[in-house]
Amino acid sequence: MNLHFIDLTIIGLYMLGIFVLGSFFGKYVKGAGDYFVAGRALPFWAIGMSIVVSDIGATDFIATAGAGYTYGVAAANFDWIGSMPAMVLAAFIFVPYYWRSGVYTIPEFLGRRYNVVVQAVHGAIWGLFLIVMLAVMLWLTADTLATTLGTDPVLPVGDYDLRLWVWLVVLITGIYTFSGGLTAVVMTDVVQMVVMFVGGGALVSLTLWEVGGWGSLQEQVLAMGPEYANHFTMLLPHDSPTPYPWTGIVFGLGLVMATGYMCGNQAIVQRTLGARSEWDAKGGMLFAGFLKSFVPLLIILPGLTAVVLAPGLENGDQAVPTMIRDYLPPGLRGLMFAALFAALMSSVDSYLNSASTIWTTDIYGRIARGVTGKELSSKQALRVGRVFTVTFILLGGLFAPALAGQKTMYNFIQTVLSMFQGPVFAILFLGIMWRRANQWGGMAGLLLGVVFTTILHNTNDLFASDDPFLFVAWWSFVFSMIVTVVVSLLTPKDPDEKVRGLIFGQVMDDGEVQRVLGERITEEG
Amino acid sequence: MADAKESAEAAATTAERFAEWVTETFHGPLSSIFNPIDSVLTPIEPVWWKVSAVALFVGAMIWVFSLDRKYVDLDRPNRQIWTDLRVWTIVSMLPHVVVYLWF
Repeated sequence: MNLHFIDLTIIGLYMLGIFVLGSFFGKYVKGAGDYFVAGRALPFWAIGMSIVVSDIGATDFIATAGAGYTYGVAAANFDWIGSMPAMVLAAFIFVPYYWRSGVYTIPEFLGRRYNVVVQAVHGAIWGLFLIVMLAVMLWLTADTLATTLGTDPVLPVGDYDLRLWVWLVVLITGIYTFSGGLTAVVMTDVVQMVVMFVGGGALVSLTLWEVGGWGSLQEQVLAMGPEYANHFTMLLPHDSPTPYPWTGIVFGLGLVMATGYMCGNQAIVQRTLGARSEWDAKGGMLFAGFLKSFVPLLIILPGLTAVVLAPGLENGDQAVPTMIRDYLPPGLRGLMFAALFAALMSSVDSYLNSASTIWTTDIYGRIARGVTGKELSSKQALRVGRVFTVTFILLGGLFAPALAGQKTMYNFIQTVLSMFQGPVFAILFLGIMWRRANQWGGMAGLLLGVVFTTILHNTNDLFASDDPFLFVAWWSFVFSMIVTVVVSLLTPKDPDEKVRGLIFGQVMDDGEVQRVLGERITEEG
Repeated sequence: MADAKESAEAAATTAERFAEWVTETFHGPLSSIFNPIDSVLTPIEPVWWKVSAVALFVGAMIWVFSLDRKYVDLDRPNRQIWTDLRVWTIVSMLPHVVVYLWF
């Protein structure tokens, strides 16, 4: 299938518009504060829209719809119970806390609250994850486009080589993220979210109309046999072999993974740090939760309609490409491709900006301080941040083709990250909420927690679920909490000077701490 | 390309061996912890699955309303109802409650 001229025109106009808009914000960047936290000037609506598109990548359009095809509406749990309660908690505890304490990154907080080992381990794993994910996202999207168009991703599609599309995305995203920093990232995200919702909405409307509406869809899917009996059930039994047993959804996803993700993912949190006021920071997170409520309609429904319209697919991930290929007319197909590019570019720019922030603040900044004994100045941090931005986007583009077929690498990185989620959230939560948590407790909780998670991950047949990552997240969180509490109580408590301004109660209520932090934020801004 | 494939296969074999060793060593003691928990959770009726999911949303809403009003309203631009973040919480969460009760 070749793209029609009108499709290519729509994609071209979209790319050009994003490039012009993103590059426009470069003139407002004067220092590190402008580059990393948008000069603390972002309104709530921009933050909310940016969080949604940073979270939803082009690959989610495919993989989540594929899960909808295979397991039904239970796949929507990740955007409903796996988002809103955690985002409310983030909005009213973590976001105001980060906003007031003036930190740029989560590892920076962990370093100040615990010690440099915790900061280095967390910074290194996130820094590495964000870079590898850049390459993975670029390649998987090219792969998806190839599947949709029915060709090999390294071969020309009509007159257009898909590698050129990847490099076009690299070039456009790299230039506007380099010049405009977080402001450019967030403002282009706003446009990208609109494009994503319009394109995704077109696909949903047409495929749902094709099956005869929601009622007809339910009837037809349920009539297809007993294996589809749970396709309209959100919560499945505890001993379900699927990845979505209700206990895993409520405890593992709702309480740990979602909260850890929304409160501890640099790419999500960084937007709220750029808010123009604390109300905008909180409101941005809540607005994102509201918008995320609609995401399953855009990405699960096409998978569900494919059960009727394209039964018997070998792999659920083929559902959306098949729907685009077979049911969208020229014009709308271009809009859907623009939506996929929007999802890709909004995630790439966010990961790029966050990777650059972490490497500047937590890795280069720490090393520079160790060597020179001085903090990086705002101008130096801006220069270093821009060098990292260029380096990472080029690495992403260069390594994207090399990752073709290397699912082992991708799975390895995903597994390593998931092993950190429970333990990191445990020490993050205790570090903020409990004065007595100390550096030894935090270090033991993180390191032993990762060891425990590794054991749980690799012990076969321990849980009924075929893919028990939700149970692993919950139990590793509980284990790390216990270890952190016990070790902290058995070792001397950290001095008051060290934890001053880092405990939730102090940051919220102590006037003196507020004054000092306010001065620091003003200086850095 | 062939080297990359061989490396990937070697890594997969090492991972499988590691998983075998971990399973032999830890499956027994861990089962003695998790099996009793499973036997308590498995027979729970579906109505309680819904109750626990809905409780997350309702609990979060109640918690937000229990927060100090000054803390919630800090930097609030005006007193119009649409700027009340507690209202935002309710508007965002109520549809989820309906969805979980319905499905």
